Amino acid sequence: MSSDTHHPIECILPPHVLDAIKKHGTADQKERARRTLELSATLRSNREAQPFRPVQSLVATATTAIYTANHGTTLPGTVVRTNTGKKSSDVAVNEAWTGLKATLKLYGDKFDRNSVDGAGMPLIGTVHFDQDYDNAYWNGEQMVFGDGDGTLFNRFTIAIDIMGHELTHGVTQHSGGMDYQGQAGALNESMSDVFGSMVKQYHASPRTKAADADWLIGAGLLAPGVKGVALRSMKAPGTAYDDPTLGKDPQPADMAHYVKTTQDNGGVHINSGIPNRAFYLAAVGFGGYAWAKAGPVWYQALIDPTRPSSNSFADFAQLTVTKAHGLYGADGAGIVADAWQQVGVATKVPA
Amino acid sequence: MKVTLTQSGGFAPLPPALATVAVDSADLEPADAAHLAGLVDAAHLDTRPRVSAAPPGAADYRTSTLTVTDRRTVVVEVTELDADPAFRELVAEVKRLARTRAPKTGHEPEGGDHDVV
Repeated sequence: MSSDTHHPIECILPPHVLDAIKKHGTADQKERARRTLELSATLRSNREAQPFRPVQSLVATATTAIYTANHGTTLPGTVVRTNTGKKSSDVAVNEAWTGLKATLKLYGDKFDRNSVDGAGMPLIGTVHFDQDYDNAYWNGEQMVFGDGDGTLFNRFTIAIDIMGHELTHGVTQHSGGMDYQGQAGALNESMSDVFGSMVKQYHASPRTKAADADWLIGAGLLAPGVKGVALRSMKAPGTAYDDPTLGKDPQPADMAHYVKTTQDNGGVHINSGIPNRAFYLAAVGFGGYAWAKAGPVWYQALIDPTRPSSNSFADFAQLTVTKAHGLYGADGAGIVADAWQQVGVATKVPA
Repeated sequence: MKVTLTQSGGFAPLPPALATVAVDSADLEPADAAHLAGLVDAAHLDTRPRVSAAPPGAADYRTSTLTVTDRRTVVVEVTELDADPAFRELVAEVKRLARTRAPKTGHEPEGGDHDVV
């Protein structure tokens, strides 16, 4: 089911309609209605317990739930933690929960965005998906995390930026989308790494400035014995791992090394290294915290309604330069243009 | 019957040795060959769409391309978002059979198995 039909049902229909669906709908509709009523009850409970809260605090307590697939493949599985529930004894549940909340907090505090759709969409994550499952994904409606095989990968909730990464796919989806193919797909992946890394830096105590951050995606995910530090390095793409079994990190750091491939939807997880490094360079170029100046530039470009979902690196780069000019003037635009120039993407700074 | 499985995509990279694997019934024990043939039949590859489309906005999912050559060749491409139990079981069996014939890599746990999907 597409998000276009899913979210209006979950967010707008009143409880009596949902009750009717629960009684008379198809099995799939009944299940969706049950989940929605459950989540809505949690949200109402929170609101009643807190008669008045500033908008940003409400954002931080948006309705969320973590499920377990119990090593099966049925989604969402069994609910194991909600806003009204206590901390779990299951580390993966708590990590997914913390990552989800930290992501909501960054978007709420710094980008004035309420959940991934900007309208308080209830969020779901499922842990313990399948057996020895070496992946995490966003299916258009929710996050899914495997436990890893323990040989190459640890559990996929181990790094907080992974939850930020997956939820940001939802943000991109609800911001005009980015086609999951070629350069647009690599930008889609890069947006998730950019905001996933900012979630990690914002959640850290003390918060981490751009110059001091590790800019690693998935630190801790590689199992003991695997030669590497993470899945990707935004600061130095292509250096995250080099292992006899896993191979060498294939990410290019600039356009001169752009990888043409038909695999992975045209290398969306490979060529994302180029815009990833551009963001790193811009964030360090501005100085301070990444979410203070570089983050808003990238975010404004992402949500710009004129941005085509098929945007190329050059399209998106130019949009960020234009946004930086609007936000910070010629100096800001120059910092962003220089970042893209260093990765081999030319832009024009507005006069 | 020869079955080739190519997988790509995913938040995490696929080990190159597991990205494409192939098994040939002629090289299998008769029981394994019969089991594989049964799984191919149960997956109804003939009646599937040749390419399955992911839902809008979905990301980081893996895609499996199965090429089955018997008297003729059938190729299907299925994302894990669309994979039903019969298809998942076939993919898992192809990988299991391929692993039993693959050289050791140094990262195998006791027993030697790890699944990617």
